[in-house]
Amino acid sequence: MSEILLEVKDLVIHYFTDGEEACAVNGLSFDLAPQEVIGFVGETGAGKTTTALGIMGLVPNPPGRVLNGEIIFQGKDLLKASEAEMRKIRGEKITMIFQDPMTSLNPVLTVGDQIAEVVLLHNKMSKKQAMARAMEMLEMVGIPGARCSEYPHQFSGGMKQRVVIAIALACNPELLIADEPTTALDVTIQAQVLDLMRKLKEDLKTSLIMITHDLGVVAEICDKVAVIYAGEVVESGTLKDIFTDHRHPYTEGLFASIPDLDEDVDRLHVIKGLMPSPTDLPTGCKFHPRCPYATERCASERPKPVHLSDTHMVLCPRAGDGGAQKA
Amino acid sequence: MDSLLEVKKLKKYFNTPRGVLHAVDGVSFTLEKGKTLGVVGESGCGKSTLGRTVLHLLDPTSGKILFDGRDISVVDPKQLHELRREMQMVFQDPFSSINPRMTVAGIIGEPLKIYKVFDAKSDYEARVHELMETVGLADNMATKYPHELDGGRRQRIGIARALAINPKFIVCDEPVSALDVSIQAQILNLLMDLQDQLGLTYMFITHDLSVVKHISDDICVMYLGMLVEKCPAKELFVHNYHPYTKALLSAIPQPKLVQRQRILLKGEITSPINVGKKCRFAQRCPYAKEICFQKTPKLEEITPGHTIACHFAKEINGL
Amino acid sequence: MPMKNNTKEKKNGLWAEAWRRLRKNRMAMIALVVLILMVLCAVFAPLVAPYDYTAQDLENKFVYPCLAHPFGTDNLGRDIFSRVIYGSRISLQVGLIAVSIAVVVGGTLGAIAAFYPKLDNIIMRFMDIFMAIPSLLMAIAITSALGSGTRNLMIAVGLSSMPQYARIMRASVLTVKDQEFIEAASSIGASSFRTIVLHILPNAFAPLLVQATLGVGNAIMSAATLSFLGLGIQPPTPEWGSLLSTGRNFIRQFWPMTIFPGLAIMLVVYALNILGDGLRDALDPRLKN
Repeated sequence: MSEILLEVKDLVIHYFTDGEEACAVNGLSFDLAPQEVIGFVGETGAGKTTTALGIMGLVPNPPGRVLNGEIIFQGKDLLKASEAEMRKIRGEKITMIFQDPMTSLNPVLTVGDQIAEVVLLHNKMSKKQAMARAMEMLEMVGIPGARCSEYPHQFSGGMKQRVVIAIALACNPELLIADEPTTALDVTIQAQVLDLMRKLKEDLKTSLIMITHDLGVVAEICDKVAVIYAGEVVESGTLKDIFTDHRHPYTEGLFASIPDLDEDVDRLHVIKGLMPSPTDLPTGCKFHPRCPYATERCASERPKPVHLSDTHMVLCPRAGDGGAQKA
Repeated sequence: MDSLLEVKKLKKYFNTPRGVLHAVDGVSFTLEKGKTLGVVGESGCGKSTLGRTVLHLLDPTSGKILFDGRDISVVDPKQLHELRREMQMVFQDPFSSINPRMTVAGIIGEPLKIYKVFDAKSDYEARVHELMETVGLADNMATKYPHELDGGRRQRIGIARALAINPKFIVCDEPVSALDVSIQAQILNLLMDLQDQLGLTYMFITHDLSVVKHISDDICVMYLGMLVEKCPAKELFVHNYHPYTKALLSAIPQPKLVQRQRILLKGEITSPINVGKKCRFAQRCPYAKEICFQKTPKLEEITPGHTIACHFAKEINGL
Repeated sequence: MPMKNNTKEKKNGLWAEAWRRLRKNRMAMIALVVLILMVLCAVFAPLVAPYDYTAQDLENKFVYPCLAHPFGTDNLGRDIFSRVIYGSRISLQVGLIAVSIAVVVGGTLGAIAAFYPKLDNIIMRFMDIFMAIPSLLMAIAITSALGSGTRNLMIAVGLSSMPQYARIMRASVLTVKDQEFIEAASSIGASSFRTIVLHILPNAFAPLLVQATLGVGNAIMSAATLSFLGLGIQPPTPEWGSLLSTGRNFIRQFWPMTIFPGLAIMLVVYALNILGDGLRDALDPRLKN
């Protein structure tokens, strides 16, 4: 890939509470080209949201602290940027949408005002122009512009999430981070919103980081995938790499535990054990206590990334020495 | 056929400031002993209300409920108390469905105390211990408080509580929707094992079709308070006839490179207030014609064991 | 398999656990010690106080704090320290008991209102009427009806502040009642009594507890106002509120008469507040340590 919009290198974010250190993100790296969509997949507590907050410069401090790493956005390290610079970048260049559309809108302002507010904050234009832009944005996400003067409670859940998307896109950001944007929605509504996001991604040429626990959503919309476990990328690659040739035991387990609509099985596959607590991570490979293939080496030695191709990386020694050639 | 639960034209209406809400509107089904009925639908379709009405957590507006041969449509508090020994519920949210101020052992043992099952304390303790083992909770969890445990373990507590007094029938209201995928699979497997061991009968309520597929024998699809399609689980994923079921199935994002042909529905789910005589799905239905807005379609058997409520069932499916 | 001890529920587990957690909270423990000391002072007032609280020494009026009179003397030459000590007997009693009355009556009514929707309107409208009458006026009315005296004073102060406790309790119970574990309780056949006592109240009383600790100070002040109006404690019996109001006349010329009773009230209220906060946290197993 020639051009790179965002490159995150060895990011480490820990939370410090009550004398305990929660290792939320532990040396996470990935990169993203313009107009590319990357999916962050992982379970609750894997560090997906913390990474996103880190990119936005919004890690709550205290208790959170970025201990190491670089976040290079358009050639500039965001971790070294001042708060004033970050404020300009947020909303204009990088925006974020959150899981719950019900709480991310202000109930006492009309949706038009809320979109216009963002526009005015980052552009020099009159209130009237901003409102016109707001209407345009609403139309773009499939809501009649005339509903500009309505309040959030007059919209349904799916509509609210559309409004939130409109706000996030109002300033033509280079990068949109979507944190579980469809999890709170019903399946048929989720399908509508995903459909919209796919269209917008083509029209607006915005890069997107899609945070989700649902591999189905990833398959719908992403170009590449980073599987995150205990604050690390354990496997990354193109959609095809991950969906047809996943090598990491965790990725394998994730795929196997999803009930398949087209096939019949009597028992669902289970990844044994639980997600480790971020205050008490295992040594060596963080997945080894749950891994069916773990050896003694896994318990003591941190695995090194194995590059199977230019795009496909696996954080497991088995991937390299042919151990993954399963039946 | 040995049916445990028979529900006939069950209705549950709520009075709201905007009119009468037809949360459950004339639902009928039969559930055999040891089988699982999956009830599927999106938020507001009345699936949870249906489960709660069957359990008498809500009183039915009208209709009949036959349980193990007895008519339990109307029960007095004493009968209800006895009935609860036989029908239990597992709730959706493992974070709010158990009392945060009680220990794990206390929560699991509560039904035993309420029904004074054991006289001797040691018997009681042994039963709590046994229950914890059954659902896969380690011994040292007994004195812990719920907040110290993760969602999966908390859901196991909820299941153990429901099992405590040996019920025959359990309503599972979205028991896995708040859990991570890998934990979801653990809980689903547990529920299936328990059914095999204890001969339980389940009513499994969920919004997620892929979840019910594995656990159900029959599936009912609900939309705005009404059954729209009912058939054996395996059949539904091969032959589905109602336009809503088709859309619902196609809307599930698949973890595969090649996606199904998607049927995108227009508009959003409304609420079943002042419904009138029409097909409740008509507004969003891609095939809706005039008659759909004038007449409520009846559930009709389209192939043996497969019923659907749609005026154009045959036309749409080329039958 | 042998039964292990830990499957057993500990007796009084909740309280023992709470006490263990409370002990770890240093501020709350300091507050508790302060309160215990003050109660002990009140109980053993004759042993602690250096002078008789009525003893006048007209030659030594308005003496500033010194070794002989640690808090100074008042306009009649009485030792302020002794008067504050003796005053704590009445004030602590009135404050704590009046609030207990308010909490018990108000909390019960509020819980009933929340739990039985049919009674909700009746009880809460009654509370609204109660609240519409200024609480001082209400207290005056009650004491005039019952007659003066410490006991009636406590009843009057307690009842007049009761509606706010009822409101807090009702709101709190309503929130808890909506949670799924209450429905779960009825699904396993728990009686309403069991549900209220075991599931609702333990989860609903925290806001009440905090409000109660704040209420003690107010109760002491209302008791003082009533005494001032001649409806409560009669002079020369000292009581913090009346000490304050007498002192107020001399506030420009002689500060010790207001400052020391004021500090005493502040200390009690502050200590109770911290203790209340600590108790709330200690009783909530979700907050570890």
